[in-house]
Parts: sequence; structure tokens; C-alpha cells
Amino acid sequence: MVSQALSKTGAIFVRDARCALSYPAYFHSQWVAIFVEVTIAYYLSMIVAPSSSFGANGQTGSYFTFLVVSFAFVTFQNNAMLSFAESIREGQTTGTLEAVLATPTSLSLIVLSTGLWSFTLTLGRVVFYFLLALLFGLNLHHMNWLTAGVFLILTIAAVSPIGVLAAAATMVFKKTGPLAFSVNSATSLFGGVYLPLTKLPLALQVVGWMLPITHALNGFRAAVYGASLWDLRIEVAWMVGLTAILMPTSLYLFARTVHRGRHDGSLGQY
Amino acid sequence: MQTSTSAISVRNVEKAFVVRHGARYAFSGDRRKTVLHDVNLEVRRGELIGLLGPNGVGKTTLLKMMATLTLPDAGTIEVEGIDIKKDPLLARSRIGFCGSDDRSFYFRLTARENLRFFGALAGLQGRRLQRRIEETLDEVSLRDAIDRRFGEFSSGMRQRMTVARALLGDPDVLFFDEPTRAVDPLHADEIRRMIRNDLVENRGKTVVLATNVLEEAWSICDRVAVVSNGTIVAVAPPNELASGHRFASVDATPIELFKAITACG
Repeated sequence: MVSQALSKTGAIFVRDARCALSYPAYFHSQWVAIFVEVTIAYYLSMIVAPSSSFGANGQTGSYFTFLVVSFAFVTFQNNAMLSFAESIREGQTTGTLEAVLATPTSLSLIVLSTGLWSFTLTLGRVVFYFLLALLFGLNLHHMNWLTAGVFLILTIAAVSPIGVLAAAATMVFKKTGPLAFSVNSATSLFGGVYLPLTKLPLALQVVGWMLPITHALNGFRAAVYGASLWDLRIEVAWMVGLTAILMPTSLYLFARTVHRGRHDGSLGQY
Repeated sequence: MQTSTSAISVRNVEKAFVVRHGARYAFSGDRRKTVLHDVNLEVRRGELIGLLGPNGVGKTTLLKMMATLTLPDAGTIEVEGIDIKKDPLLARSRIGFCGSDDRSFYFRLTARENLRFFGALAGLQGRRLQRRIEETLDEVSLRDAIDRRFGEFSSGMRQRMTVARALLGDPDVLFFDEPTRAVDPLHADEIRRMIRNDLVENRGKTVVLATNVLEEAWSICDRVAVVSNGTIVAVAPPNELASGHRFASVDATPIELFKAITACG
């Protein structure tokens, strides 16, 4: 049973990897895009003075470090928002979704495994992001690697349900481009990607505080300045709690949308 | 689980789809179009039964319902004694579905990579999976194209790939939705012989074949279920269906026979 589930997960991972690598120009251009982003962050940070609001753990931080962590980590959320939904959409338009749903494979395995390759790729991109940023002068001397590793895992776990919800929306509405873009942009702003949460009005701070990306960024930024897991226990608890609620809820909603598709015969429609 | 000689049992099945025409109907409520009504069908184990009828009478909907891809509004469907509504995953492990959409593969992947993916989802692993990929591609005469990208395949080759995919897991029950559509006569004949001789006669599989090609239904099916206006109006062996019509003894053309059978049952 377990080996079969692993085999199916592996098959979905290999499928996605092979499909992605079959577009070499697209695949390689993303590394160039990261170089451009890091360069922009570097030059933007030259006109913004270091401040305590960019730092964490009681230390003053540079805007460069703030932006690099933001840009790198928000890719997990962007990835979740886009990759799950894109995979479903592609399956609808090519007819592969119906073929996959005709197999004896559970819906949760299908939808969660869909994110595996893209999260792996995103992890590679984040590592590349930091390696480039180091060349531009990013200081990771105080990094608490355990905290950083835990927040990396928590981030992937917490944003995955968002991806499943995006996939559920695609099952129903078929095309969700502007909706996904709006949600992604709003959560990036309210989650403190571009500027610290404290700069936002109180009402938006409350909204931002509820988002997983906010706590992911807070946690990782604090890890850069040496914070321990104990220092960040509230962030950890919030992300664990949020994942525990969102994961089953999103899987349930996805299953309902597939059930609806089976009922109204729209599984293969696009 | 298996209580009778029936491999598939369809009882009192009803299906209607909501018809949506944009914002105009947003305030006037859903309109439903009945696609199938009071459908009953028993398919014996090891039997090849054809669903014959013109386009749009509900053959594909019925086939998709038996394959768990569409849910009936009312009635029950059992495949190998498994209620497809109550345990769709178990039912799917006994089913091979060959849809009519010949694009339903990954265009950037080769035939081998595509079948490896779908085979893994069907529960196959390791050497058995490799062996089944080669065997099924042999069966549909695509072994030479095993490492070619699916995107390079012709329509006929794509259609044969859908047949290969359905056979991968060596299921007890197979559903074919117009499997020879877009296939040249030579390969179409090969597919028909493979279904009749290899799958049904040699391996005892139960096959449901949806088709609008009279000759296809006539030449390979044990029985033919005539679908007309959303219901099954007659189920009988081909020769009995033909002899039930006044012109059976004269030289009726296939088109005349098709018209008469699907119109009258």
C-alpha cells in the first residue's frame, strides 16, 4: 500500500520534471530571472537606509536582506498559487485530467503530488537566490540553520493548502488567472513581502498576521539574525495550527469540486 | 462481491445535465437536459457488448458512468459486484477505460514515459510495469514508436495509445469509446480483432464498446444494445436485431439498417 503510494507519487514527480525539462529555454531562463531580481534588490537597497524594522531578533537589518528573504520565500507562495492550478488546467485542456481520474488513485495523492516537483524546483531556486545574494554581500554569519530549515518545511506545508484551494477553484471556474493574480498580489502586500507589516494600517496588519506567508517571512528573517525556534514559538504554533486546519479543509473542498465535476459531467470541460 | 454471472449491472439509471448559457440563466434557475432515462443493462462476464447509436444519444455518458467518471442522478451501477458510487477506487482497479479523446496524453513525453506514468497510477511497478508497457504497445502495433514523443504521433497512433493505456493494468472489465475513430482500416481491423480474439475469447475479459459504426458492432459483438433518445431500446445478438426488421432478408445497406435499428429498436 505504502510502496504503491510512493510509486504513484514518484510517477507524478517524474512526469512533471520531464515535462518541465523538455522546455530547456524556459527552464534555464528562470535562473537568469533570479539574477535580475537579486540585482534589482541590491540596487534598491542602496537608496534605503538600514533600519530596525528590516531586521529581527532585536537587530538592525539592511533592506537588501529584507528583500532577498522576501523575494526568495514568496516564490513558495507564488508556486503554490500557480503550479497546482496550472496542472489541473492543463489536464482539463489536454484531457489528461479525466484519464488520471479514471485510475485507482486517491484525489489527495493526485493533488498533493502535483506540487512536489514545483516545490523541489522552488527550493533549488531559493538556494540559487541566496547563493547569488551572497555574492552581492548578503550576510548569513548569524543564521540559525535549524530554525531556517524548520521554517522552510513549515512554509511548504502551510502554502500547499493554498495551492489545493487554487486547484479546487480551477475545477469549478476553469480559468482563474485574474483571481489568482489578485489573491497572490494582495497576500504578498499584506504578508510583508515588499515592506514591513508595521508600516501597514492596523486592520491590514491583522489580515496580514493571519496569512501563512507573514509568519514564514518573519521566521526566516529572524533565523537570518540568529533567532532560535523557542524565540519563534508563536510563529511556529500559528503555522502548524494553520496547516492543521487548512490542509484537510482544502482537500475536502477539492474532493467536493471533483465530485461536482463528476456529477455535472464537467471533468473534461474547459 | 461477485454474486452473479453479471460483470456489469446497470439498473434504472437516470442522468440529466445542467444546461448553462452564461448570465442569461443566472437569474432564471438551472435548466436540465435529460441525457439518459431508465437505462437497464446486464453485461455477462466474458461478454463483448456494443452500445450502438448515432451521435448524441448518450452512449459516451453511459460509458463514462460505468467507468466512474460521471455519476448517475438515480439508479445503481455495479462493476464486478462493486457499486461505483460507494467504492469508486476499488471499481477503478477493475476497469480499463479507453476514451475517445486521443489527445489525453503528455505531448512532450514519449509513448514509454506516458505509459509508465499511467501504469504507475494503475498500480503497476517495476519489471511488471516495463513488461506490460512493451506488451500493450505490441498489441496496438506501436512497439517501434515506444521512444517517440506522443506529440509526433498521428491521430490514429494516438487513438491506439488510448487502447494501450486501457490494457496496461490487465483489468477484468474494459470500456472502449469509439476505439477505431480516426484509425486507418488496417489498424482498425487489428484493434477489432485484438478486442474480439485476444481480450474476449482468449483472456475472458468483459468489454463494453460504444460505437456508431454498424459493421463494427455487427462483426465483433456478442450482443448489441441499441441506444436511442437516452435509453436502451433493444439488446440482442446482431443477427437477431437484424432479423427483427422487415428488410432483413433483402439487401439492406448498412446505412438503411443503422437508420432502422436506431430509430425503431
